[in-house]
Amino acid sequence: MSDAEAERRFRQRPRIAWREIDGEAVLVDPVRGRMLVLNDTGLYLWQALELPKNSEELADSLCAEFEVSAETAAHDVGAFLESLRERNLVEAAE
Amino acid sequence: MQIETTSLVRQALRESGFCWVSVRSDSMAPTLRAGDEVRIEPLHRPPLPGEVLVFQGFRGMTVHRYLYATLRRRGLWIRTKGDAAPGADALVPLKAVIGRVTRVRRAGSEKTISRAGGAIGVALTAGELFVRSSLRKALTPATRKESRTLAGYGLALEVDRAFDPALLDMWLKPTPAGSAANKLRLRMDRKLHHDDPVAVEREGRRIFSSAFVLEMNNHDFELRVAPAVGARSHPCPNALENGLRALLAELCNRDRDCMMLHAAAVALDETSGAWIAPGASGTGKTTLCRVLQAEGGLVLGDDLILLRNTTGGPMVEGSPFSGDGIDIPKTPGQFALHGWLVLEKADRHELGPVTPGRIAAAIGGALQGQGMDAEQVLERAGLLSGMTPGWRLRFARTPGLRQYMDQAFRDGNPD
Repeated sequence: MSDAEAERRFRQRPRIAWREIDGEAVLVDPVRGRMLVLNDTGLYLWQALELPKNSEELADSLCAEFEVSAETAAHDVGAFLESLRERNLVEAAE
Repeated sequence: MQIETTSLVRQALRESGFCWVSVRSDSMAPTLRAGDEVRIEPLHRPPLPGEVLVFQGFRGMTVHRYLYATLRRRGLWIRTKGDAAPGADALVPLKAVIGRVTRVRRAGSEKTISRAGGAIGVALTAGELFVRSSLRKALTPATRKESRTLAGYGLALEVDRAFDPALLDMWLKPTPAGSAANKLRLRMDRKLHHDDPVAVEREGRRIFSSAFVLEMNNHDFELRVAPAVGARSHPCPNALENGLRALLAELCNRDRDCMMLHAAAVALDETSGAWIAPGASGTGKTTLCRVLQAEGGLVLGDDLILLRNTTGGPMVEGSPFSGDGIDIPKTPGQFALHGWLVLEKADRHELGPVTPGRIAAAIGGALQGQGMDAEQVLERAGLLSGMTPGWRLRFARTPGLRQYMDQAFRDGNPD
């Protein structure tokens, strides 16, 4: 991931219907008509994306809340953001 | 990893709902290390894979990560493992579980313990409702009036240009005398084709894409199977059935005490409750029904089922529709809802826990396509997932599934 890409901020796309159920997030993808489940760390990041965040900010936040190494957090956050972008669930913040 | 409290933990959980204890070894490193303090909370539901559990092990109270459950003669036993341990622990009975670890304190900071052990997960559940079923008989012109019921809903049919009576009888039962009936007009314009560019419209809004139009005005329905425009030449046998499915969905939507689900529903015998297995095409609904039915189990429905809210609790019943083009014999009547099954095809039978979120997602997928918006789907799915327990059922096409489930749900008592 380039520096410019890493600094790009994203946030939840408006009007994505989701609900927290027993520590996980259940989302409805209105475009593809599919249900998505995010586990507890995914839920934590999804909630963080209510405000614009870049991958570094998300990884730092994850490390502060969960016992995870900075390297693992950076890798997993990058993959997580990519999967959200592929499904059009987040948008770039201006 | 052994911790330095024993009976005090159980007492504290009963009285306070949580307690903090110190960790004495590094077997859960790097998640937990000697000297850490962990917050333990009681577990009022089955454990979920990846959770860090506190249990009474053979060498005292132990904190390790839960891997899976397995059925033995004396009930469910669980397999655990320390994150730093080379191998898994010996099996311990499920009843030995005391609670789960939710937080850790180390060097002045406090963090959440992840169920996934650090990995961030996204899982997809497909939502799809109107899969095809077979309707192979040719349509023949006629005009007459019919009275039928569709899954308990009375319908007065005005068939403008009708078809083989056997077609209607495949899904519609005669209306009992004096029953309230909605009005349904059926008009068949001509033989159908695949890829008809026609949509189902509901008060001017497109709701289903198929070769029919269902127009509704209060209790008047008009199901019009429309001609093809630039369609291919091979006949489409499913348009009428899909229209009737859409009609049943609409009737359920208008009935506050009924929901239609794209799911299979099975029971082990006449006295057992029903298990609902929601899921899109290909998840194993029909296969599960065939395997269980071959062993004496009961199939209420293999594709579309109804869940009714009654004074006696939620009741499950089948619908006339089948999946995969094969009409599986169905057991009529209502069965009490016993629980949810999230299906996975496998090479052996195995019952295991599944998170409430996964159950809700499976139910949500089974509710989609019925004219509800996403918020309504989530609301109903959340409500239903909390109604009764759910389990992941891995099953094979091999014999013994009914016996396995019977033992698991009766003797093993995973509830």
